[in-house]
Amino acid sequence: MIDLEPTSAPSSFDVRHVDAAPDAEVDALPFGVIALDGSGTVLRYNLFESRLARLDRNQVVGRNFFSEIARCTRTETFEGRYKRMLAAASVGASETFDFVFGFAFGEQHVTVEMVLAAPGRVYLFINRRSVKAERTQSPEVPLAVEQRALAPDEGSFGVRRDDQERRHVDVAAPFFAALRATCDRVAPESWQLFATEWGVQWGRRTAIDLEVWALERGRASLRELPMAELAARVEATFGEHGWGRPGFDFRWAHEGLVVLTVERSALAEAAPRVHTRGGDGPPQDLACHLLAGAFSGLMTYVADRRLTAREVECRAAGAERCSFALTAHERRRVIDGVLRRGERGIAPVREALLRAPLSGADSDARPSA
Amino acid sequence: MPDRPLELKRPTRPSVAAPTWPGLSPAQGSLPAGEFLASVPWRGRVPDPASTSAIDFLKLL
Repeated sequence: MIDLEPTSAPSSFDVRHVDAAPDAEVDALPFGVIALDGSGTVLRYNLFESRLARLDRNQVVGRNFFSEIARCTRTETFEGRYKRMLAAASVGASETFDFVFGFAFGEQHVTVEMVLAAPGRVYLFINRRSVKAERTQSPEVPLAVEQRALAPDEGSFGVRRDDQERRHVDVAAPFFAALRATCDRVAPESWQLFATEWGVQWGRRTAIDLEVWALERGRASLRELPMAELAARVEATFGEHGWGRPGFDFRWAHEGLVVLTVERSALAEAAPRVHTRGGDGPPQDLACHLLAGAFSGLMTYVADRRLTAREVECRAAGAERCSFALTAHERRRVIDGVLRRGERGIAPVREALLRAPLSGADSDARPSA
Repeated sequence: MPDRPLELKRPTRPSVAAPTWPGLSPAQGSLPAGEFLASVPWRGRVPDPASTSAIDFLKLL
């Protein structure tokens, strides 16, 4: 099984780490990250910033931030600071200031930390304080560019966007069956590994989407939403995109187990019917590893520590619905043991978790014999 | 260059009280599955998901 990398944002921050980090890691950060060169050209533009600005970074990277992307920043407060930093500051110098980004869809009050990461290389770390659907600035203040202005004819090139300017591709369910069949042919026994990690990456990005959703509605950060409200939003998100109807069951949370279910999982209904159970290899009757990985990635972000979701029964094998056991990452092997024995469903998982020896961190809570 | 603290938007709140683990007696270990599950005293309680923050709720796991 794959070990999930921690996804929590660091409590302390070294800009050199961000500069050296791959885009996938920078995309997991819950604040905007923009890198500019000495002429103001955008070098990096992370997912969080892209979502909140409603700009496709493929059309942003390589353009001038001040004159083409965010014309509202052509001020002494912003561009002036940038120029002075480039001219006189030493590497590592930083300035923090408040600013208001004006967009056609509203305005965003932000705190910007501007850091000189290297000679001629400036990072902007952008933390949203509030997101408003209406503008309070003077109409004379220029707006940031809209996506349609960056790529006016892209519709004629087969580019489709949703109402948040996210590009999307519509695929029919057999697409996933074909992907599975290809993986089984090219790299047998690897589907679970591949699909789970794919799901984890997807779950991390879904967490960023949901964080933006919460911000745009003036809500608390995703982690501070009530659990029931977060669950409802997760259910709506996956349901609206056609994955099936998810649900959360908190009845056994005090046993260290949260159950997620998916009714009519698109993955289960696209999967080949195989009923091989038990043995040393990965279970062949569970089909929704992509969703398991996604739940793992998403809930790890929310919890700010590693959680793992494992599918424990699947519609592809005849179950009424697909069920996933969400536990602390350290307890995943208990569930893996249940699955290797060919047992399926929540009941054997519950019993195994209750019987399992505790980690060292919990043992102090055990009553003396 | 020393680590630069970057203040996150909203700090996490203090956790809910940690639940205690009841332990497992030898007699419980020999029970059939259904009786076993019914015999284990529940550790702690499930906080109300409608009024508990997600990050606090998930500390139960």
